[in-house]
Amino acid sequence: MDNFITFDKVCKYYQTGPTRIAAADHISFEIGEGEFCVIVGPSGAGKTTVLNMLGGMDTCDEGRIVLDGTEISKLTTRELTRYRRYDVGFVFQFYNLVQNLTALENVELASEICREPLDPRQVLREVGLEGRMGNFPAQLSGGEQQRVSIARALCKNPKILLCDEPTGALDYQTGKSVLALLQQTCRERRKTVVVITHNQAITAMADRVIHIKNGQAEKCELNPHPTPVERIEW
Amino acid sequence: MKKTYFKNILREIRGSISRFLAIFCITALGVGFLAGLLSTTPDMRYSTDVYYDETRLMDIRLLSTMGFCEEDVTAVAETEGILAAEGGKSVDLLVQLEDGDTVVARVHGVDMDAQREGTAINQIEVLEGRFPENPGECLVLLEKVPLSGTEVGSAMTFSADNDGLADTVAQTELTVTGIASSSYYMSLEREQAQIGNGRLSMILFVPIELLNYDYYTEIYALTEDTAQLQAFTDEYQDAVDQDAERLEKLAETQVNVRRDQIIDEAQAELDDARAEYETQKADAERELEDAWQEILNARAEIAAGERDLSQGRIDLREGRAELERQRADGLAQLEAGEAELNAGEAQYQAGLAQYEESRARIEEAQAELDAASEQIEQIRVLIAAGMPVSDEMRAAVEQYDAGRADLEAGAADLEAGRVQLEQTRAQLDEGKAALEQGWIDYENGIAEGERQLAQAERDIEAGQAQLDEGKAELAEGEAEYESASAEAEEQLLDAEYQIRDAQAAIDDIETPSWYVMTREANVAYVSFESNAEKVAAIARVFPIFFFLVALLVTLTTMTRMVEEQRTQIGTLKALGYSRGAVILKYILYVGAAGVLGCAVGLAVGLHLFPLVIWQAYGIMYTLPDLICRFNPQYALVSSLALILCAVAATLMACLSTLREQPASLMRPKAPKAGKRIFLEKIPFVWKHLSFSRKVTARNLIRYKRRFFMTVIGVAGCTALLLTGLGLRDSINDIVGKQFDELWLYNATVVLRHDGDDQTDFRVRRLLEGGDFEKTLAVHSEAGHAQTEEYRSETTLFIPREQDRLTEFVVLRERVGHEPVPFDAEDAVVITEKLSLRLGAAAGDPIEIENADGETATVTVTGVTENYVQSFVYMTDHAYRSAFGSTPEYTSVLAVSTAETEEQRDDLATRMLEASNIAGVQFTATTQESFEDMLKSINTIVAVIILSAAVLAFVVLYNLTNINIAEREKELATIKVLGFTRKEVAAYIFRETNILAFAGTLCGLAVGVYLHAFVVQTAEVDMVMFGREIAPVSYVLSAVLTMAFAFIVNLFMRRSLARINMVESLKASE
Repeated sequence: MDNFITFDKVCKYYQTGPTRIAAADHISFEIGEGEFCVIVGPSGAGKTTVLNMLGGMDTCDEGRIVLDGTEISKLTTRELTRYRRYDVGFVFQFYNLVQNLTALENVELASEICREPLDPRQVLREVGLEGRMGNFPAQLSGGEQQRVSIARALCKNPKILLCDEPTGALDYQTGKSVLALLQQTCRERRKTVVVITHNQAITAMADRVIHIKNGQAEKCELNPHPTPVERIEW
Repeated sequence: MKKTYFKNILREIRGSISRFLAIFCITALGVGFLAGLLSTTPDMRYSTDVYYDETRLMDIRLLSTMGFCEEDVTAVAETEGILAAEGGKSVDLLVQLEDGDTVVARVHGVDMDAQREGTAINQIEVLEGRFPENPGECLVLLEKVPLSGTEVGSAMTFSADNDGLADTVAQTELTVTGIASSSYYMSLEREQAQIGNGRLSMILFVPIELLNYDYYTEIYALTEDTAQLQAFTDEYQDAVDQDAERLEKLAETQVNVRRDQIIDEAQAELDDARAEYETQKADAERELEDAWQEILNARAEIAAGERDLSQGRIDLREGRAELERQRADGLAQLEAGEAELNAGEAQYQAGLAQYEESRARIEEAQAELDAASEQIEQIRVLIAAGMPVSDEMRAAVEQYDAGRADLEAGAADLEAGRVQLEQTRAQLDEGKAALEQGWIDYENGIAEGERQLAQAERDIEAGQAQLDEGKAELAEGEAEYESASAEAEEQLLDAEYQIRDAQAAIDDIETPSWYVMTREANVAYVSFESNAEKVAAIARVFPIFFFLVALLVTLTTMTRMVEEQRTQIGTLKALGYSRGAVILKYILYVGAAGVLGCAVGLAVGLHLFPLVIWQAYGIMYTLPDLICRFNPQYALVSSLALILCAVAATLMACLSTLREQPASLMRPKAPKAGKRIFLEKIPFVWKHLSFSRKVTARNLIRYKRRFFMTVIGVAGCTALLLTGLGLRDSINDIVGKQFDELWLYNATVVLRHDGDDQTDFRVRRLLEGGDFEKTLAVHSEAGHAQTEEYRSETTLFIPREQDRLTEFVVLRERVGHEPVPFDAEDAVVITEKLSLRLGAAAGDPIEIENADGETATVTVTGVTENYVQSFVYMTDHAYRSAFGSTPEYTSVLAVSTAETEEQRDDLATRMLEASNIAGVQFTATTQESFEDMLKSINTIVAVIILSAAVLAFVVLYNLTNINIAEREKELATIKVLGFTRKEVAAYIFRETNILAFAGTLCGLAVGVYLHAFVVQTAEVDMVMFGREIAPVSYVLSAVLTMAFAFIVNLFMRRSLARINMVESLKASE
């Protein structure tokens, strides 16, 4: 249960000129299935690197990354694409909706390529956008766009939901409601949700908190009693 | 301005080097293309002019119907405006090469010393070998494909088949000492020869001394204008035309010099001939006189002989009568003699019988006596004895005695009778013998007479035979005399006529005509000029595309750049930089790219394009080195135009951005909102589109500018391709359609005089022999046709048999191929190009001008499809009523059975032997030279296709690149969403492909018009290109364009792959 996701001494280096910077320096942690996990750390600590590697957008230079028994760090580019396609749902900080598509179509964009997608309309209804399916992103508020983004990630019915600063571009209230939606999804659908943020406050709602600092998993703590979002303040 | 500001710009350039390069490249391409093509024609003209000046190509060439004398040359040289004049001799001769081939050569006698010193007009350049030093040496003009046997050192001979070779050349053996080039013969096209097969196979330059006639065949003149004015320009032509006019004026008086000279020479020659004639005539007459006398003598002789002969006949007849008479006389005499003899015999016999009787009686008496004698004796004795004898006895004895005496007497009588009888017998025998003799004599005499007569007869017969013979001889002699005298008479008459004719000819010697011809009459000059114009026409069209595309690309790129840097712009504005200062950065950026691009583009384009085209024309011409001049007008105009347009485009892009407040600029620009598109309102269509196609459709509509740019760029590419390929179709069309479909005849025979039946049995025999299936006499005359709109050279064409024209030339409408009627009495059918240029259709009046400059107005009755040259087909009646003169049918259209070139050459050779045939032209030959000429256009077509490809690449690459760059985040996102590489590519390229497809469709439509335009611009008056584009060209242009798009997509796949998914995590700039 604990080792649904495993990072085992994962390293990632970036070569800039003569200097080699280790963005991930032997990071190791584990995340259990169905957990709501928050990876937290200051800017430049290596959060995003972890996210990229976990999301199959980047490869690691050393170590192993395993998800549900699949060693992601060994996948080829093609396999990584399949991995992203079928196993990962991604929620972006800036929503990354295709401006030219309606809310529904943005969701369909993802569902179209999946093996067992959920019904996009149903998912949108569930994220509370029943009345806005036909609207273009420009006609939606930030929170609504993020909901579309989440719906897009959810409808793929992925193994994990990766969220990169999902509240970063949102105001407090909206951020909260989005987080609530994510937590709800985790609980109700038993989806593993990984949220990456620099916002320490959010850690309270997580089942598991991983602190990243200087490219290393500094601390990994389990929170047996996560606080509901409504009660978190920042 | 501030240092940092410029540093910023330099950094900007360095940082966005690919964008800078894009602008640089497209500018270089656009300007290079435009300036390069535009200056090609001027460069071609200039280089050729320099070549002409260097080689002192004549400005004016004079020909005369009777050649020129030295005085003419001097007079020309002294004419105002003429810098120098030089007499030249040229002649077409059959030349036998070492391998035995006989070819037609134009032999130019040139002053080799002047050539060597470089002072001659029409300077020839020796490319290999050396100038000839004695009359037996020659130079051969360089050919693209040299004839074998014309290398330096090879020998050639003037063929003995040449007429009057001895009068033409001083020696017949030649050695090639060099290969030369001449600006006079720059083109591969050659004039027609009037000997042999009519084709000039080589040009020889020999020392002028080799050609031994005493006059010049032509005069070359250089005008004072040629050095200052550039050939091919109107100024030059106007100036030379003026000089030519002065020479024509000079000709009016100067022609008499040569005429008098000729007349004097001819008259002297004729006088000699006349004297000779007189002597010969006297001789002949005397001879005839003698012969006549002989005949007379012979006649007299024969008459005498005849007289003798008839006398002989008379004599013979008399002789024969005499003989008859003699025979009768002789016979009578003889018979009388015989009768007498018989009577004598009878008397004799009677005498004999009497004698015998007497003798018998005597003997009886004797016997009695004898018987009595004894008794008597006895008596006697008795008597004697005297006895007594009775008287009786005595009577007895006396009786006896008396008896005896009687007996005695009787015996004597008997004896006498016997003697008489014997005499008679003798007489009788004599008489008998005489008679016998007489018979013999008679027989002999008769025989002799007969013989003599026979002889005489034979003699007469012989005489007659002889006489007959003599008569025959005489008759023969007379006949001979008759014929001889008739012949002599005829000959003399003939000679007299000849002399009279010659005299008449001398008296009729017309004043020679001078033909003053400018370079416009030089085949090479004219064709080069028209080709240069063709390039100019094409150069006016094509680069415009590149220019427009360069503009579009710059605009898109700069707009994108300004949009990308809106934050920076906002920052600069917030920092207090003025609007101008901000804009200046982009202006400088685009300016730097533009100026550099222009510089490189000009440097390359101004050399490359003229050179490529020059070399393409090198297929057809012997060209000097190209001189690429910097043509400031083209270079500056095109550079400035492009840079200014780019700056204007940048300004537009900047201004719209700068209108925003700095604060809003610093915020990321709201992405362009999605919109429902019209397609969604057609549920039938929309519902049937797959999801990704819906996305594509939306995206297409979303980025309208990119949409239009891609479509325009791709359309340009397709249009160019279609134009290029279509141009090739149009050109290929011409040859096939004109020579195979429209012209059913395949040979034209040009006669010296109207081919009427009496004078031209020989020509008729040639034409009606097995060499031709059918022929049609036509009148063909160089003329002009004009309306208020246009004046064009054309050929007036009148068939002798109006209804048969269509057997030789197909008259039909180009579209639909409806036959154009030519049966009205005043039918006037003009060719399509002429109709277009004149703006005259059926029913419109046009003014036509014949070769003599007479004009008339006729009404066009039809317009026919035609591609090569232009014609006004008229009926005899129409021509007569237009000009009031009768057409001379001196050309013959013919359908020849000769199929191979050898057969044609052979036929031409035979035809040209007839004195009334001036030339034989096979359409096959024309067709070939046409094809050669049009080959050069193929190069241009290749250039067009290549440029279309470049255009497609540049446009598609650039726009796809921008498309990808602009949507980088979107693409990164869908990648993160798990789109495979293929799907991502399809996401973008479906758009590109649809755009390319739309562009292709538009391009095909535009191409049809562009093709029509180019075809009309590129063609010269004398040629009409086909107007149709082959279906395969449409397909090919479309396929090629799509292929270009596909190749660009392949390239772009790589940059798609390079998009980093991490981008998706970033905020938009």
